[in-house]
Amino acid sequence: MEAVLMTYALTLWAITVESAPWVVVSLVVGGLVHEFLPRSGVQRLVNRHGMAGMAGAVALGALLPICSCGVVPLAISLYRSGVRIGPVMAFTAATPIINPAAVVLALGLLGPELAIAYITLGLTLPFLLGMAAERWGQASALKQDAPIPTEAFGPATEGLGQRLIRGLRWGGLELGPMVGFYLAIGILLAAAVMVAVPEAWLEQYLGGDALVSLLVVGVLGAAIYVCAVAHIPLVATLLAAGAAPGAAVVFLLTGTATNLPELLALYKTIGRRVVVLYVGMLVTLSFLAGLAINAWLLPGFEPVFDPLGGLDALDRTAQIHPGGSGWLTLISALAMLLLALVGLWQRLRLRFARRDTKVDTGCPCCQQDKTAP
Amino acid sequence: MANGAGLRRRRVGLIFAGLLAFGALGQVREPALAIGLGDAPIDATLPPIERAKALVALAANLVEQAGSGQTQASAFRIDVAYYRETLRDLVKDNDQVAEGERLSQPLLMDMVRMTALLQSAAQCQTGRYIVCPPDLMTQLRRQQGLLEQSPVSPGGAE
Repeated sequence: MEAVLMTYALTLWAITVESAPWVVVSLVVGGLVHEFLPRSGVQRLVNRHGMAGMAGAVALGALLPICSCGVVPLAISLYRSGVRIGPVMAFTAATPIINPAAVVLALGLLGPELAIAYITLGLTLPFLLGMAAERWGQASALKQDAPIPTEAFGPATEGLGQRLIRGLRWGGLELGPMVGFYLAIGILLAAAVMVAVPEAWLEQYLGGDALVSLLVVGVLGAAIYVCAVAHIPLVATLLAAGAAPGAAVVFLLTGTATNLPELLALYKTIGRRVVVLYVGMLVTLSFLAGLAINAWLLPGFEPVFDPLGGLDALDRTAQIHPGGSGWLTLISALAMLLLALVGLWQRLRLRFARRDTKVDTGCPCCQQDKTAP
Repeated sequence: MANGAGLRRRRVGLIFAGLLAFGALGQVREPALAIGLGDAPIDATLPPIERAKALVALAANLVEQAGSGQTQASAFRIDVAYYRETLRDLVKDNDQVAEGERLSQPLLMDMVRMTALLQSAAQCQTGRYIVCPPDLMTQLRRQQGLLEQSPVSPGGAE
């Protein structure tokens, strides 16, 4: 029992410190996006109907090295700044799945065939997910979270400093506690799933090319926290141990694109229908891609054998993705914890306020006075 | 009254700056690299087999350090970079030796994968220390077991 609790605590901590720096950066950038995007030309560019806007969102996401938890504040701020749901979801999927460091690492450690499959799917899946969200997810947008009209962002004559402060305040004090609260619940759940699932599950299911293996890898990958750059070496070692190439790609796609903290935060802020559509399509399309890759490369798939190429890729990855400072990580983790606690406190306060109001409604003569602000 | 508030603010600012400087000093005062975690550097003139054995031992040491939760991150990162560059030299030199004395390509690739996992571990920094998630530690130990089982012997398959 003690060992399980220790593993749980370590997993919890690992997810928190890995995602916290990007969540904090994303909150800052998200605040600025919320303040400056609605009146800029960028919004018109991203909001273009059809392929161009979606392709722009995917390209932007593919360049940013943010994990699936870190992208949440940015996605919500884009959505609340008036960007359409399609490009927002395409961006949300593309950002964690693919980034320059992951591409270099995949080329060096997974071999050209799997790397090409990973890159192609990493770009096309978010595009398709965005198109689907645009087509069928729009109606699900939560009414209370509908995009705010441009006029609501204050007078355009305000100075830059005031706008910067207002953007950062929105990111830190309004978006931060809400996102922090949902991410914290999601991280608690994701760590529990990771501890509950037997250690050997990944090896067991990645090793099979059966339909069940692909499906299990897809669904479990969507629940647990996977970071592309950190997990490509892990997948490379499993491939060398005999994992099916299709299952490995499914794990990388669904694992990096989603996890419980991200899904919970998006579910509560953007809408249920979009999230269900997003996860359903992601798992289904990844599953089909896994089948196609297995049909293409099996039997007879051999992992890449180019040691120097692999070492060069590792060297380049270390340069592109150097990793954050330990103190910044620690401070970010504490900031995220603080935001989660503030979010919890806000919710509790709201709940008690509602309860008080309900109690007061029992006395119609006093209702108006008691519920008045 | 206003002066008093300003003075207090300045004091708080100074205390905060002092704390930041103390933290920065803590980072600067981290010990310099101990290559090979206390062992002598791997001799580049040794035959590839001996160097491979030394690298497998170094990897075992690094895996143990990664799992301890008490390893200083900067020293660990430098050790991992040392492991990677020594392995790179080994791979280059392996092509120069007679075919019968060469290390097998699968063994070299396993060592490259170990480098990749160690590099992932080096990213898991909390404060000054390396704290690895359990799934990465499991894989590191599994890979280490694979390296220790594989015969570091000449004449491997090309």
